[in-house]
Amino acid sequence: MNLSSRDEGTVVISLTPLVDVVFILLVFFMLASSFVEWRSIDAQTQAAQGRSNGLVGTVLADLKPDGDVVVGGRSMPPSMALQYIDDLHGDRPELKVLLRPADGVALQVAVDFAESLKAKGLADVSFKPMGVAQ
Amino acid sequence: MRLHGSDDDDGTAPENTLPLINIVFLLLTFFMVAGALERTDLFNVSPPASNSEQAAPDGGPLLLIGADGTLALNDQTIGEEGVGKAVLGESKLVRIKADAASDAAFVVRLMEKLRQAGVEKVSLITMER
Repeated sequence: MNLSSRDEGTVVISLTPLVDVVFILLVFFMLASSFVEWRSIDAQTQAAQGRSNGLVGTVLADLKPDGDVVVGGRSMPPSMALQYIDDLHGDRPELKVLLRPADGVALQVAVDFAESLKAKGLADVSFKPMGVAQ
Repeated sequence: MRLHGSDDDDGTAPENTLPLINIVFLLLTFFMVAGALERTDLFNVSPPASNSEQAAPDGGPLLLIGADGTLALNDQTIGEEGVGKAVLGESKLVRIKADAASDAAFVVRLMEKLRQAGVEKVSLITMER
């Protein structure tokens, strides 16, 4: 296919329609393509991990809307709560943590706290709704 | 820049459009290969950021939770009470795409409803931090 020659007897094909179509395709893919890489975390609720042991070996951490965390009946800042749970974890490696976010706590806060716990080596972190019977 | 017309009717030489076409082709190829086409969500949801390395699963129903508590399952708006029934027996895995600003207690209540409906695994979709 000769695109540039203008010799007698040859057909000159205009590139303009091709360029138009390619431009339209380019605009479409630029607008429609997504480069976001979605991640995921396994968000287990308590019973999904078994309730045979009840709350034995489990520490409850209540996330409050003001940012504090109630652990062991005491309200403290998240950093202190993390340290407190980490100390417990040092004594009991099989320690489970149940996070109970209160109404008004943003999901990002709960995810951040759960990730901080996992970063400290606590593999068994699950969520639990407030006010649900065991 | 002239894309049409003859090159010698007024004595001016045409600009060579081939480099332009080459670049456009390269850009097109890049966006086709590197980008991923996704369905747009029913409403805008900005998932929480996490350090998780785990890729989001592909299968399973997708439960959207908006910042204002709006719910949609597989692009159909539903109410909170319908969440359990909607997934009953459908799948053992449910993906939750919840807004980072949504109420965590509400999301956990929904997770509990899903568990009671027989869902064994709930995958909370997050964004790379």
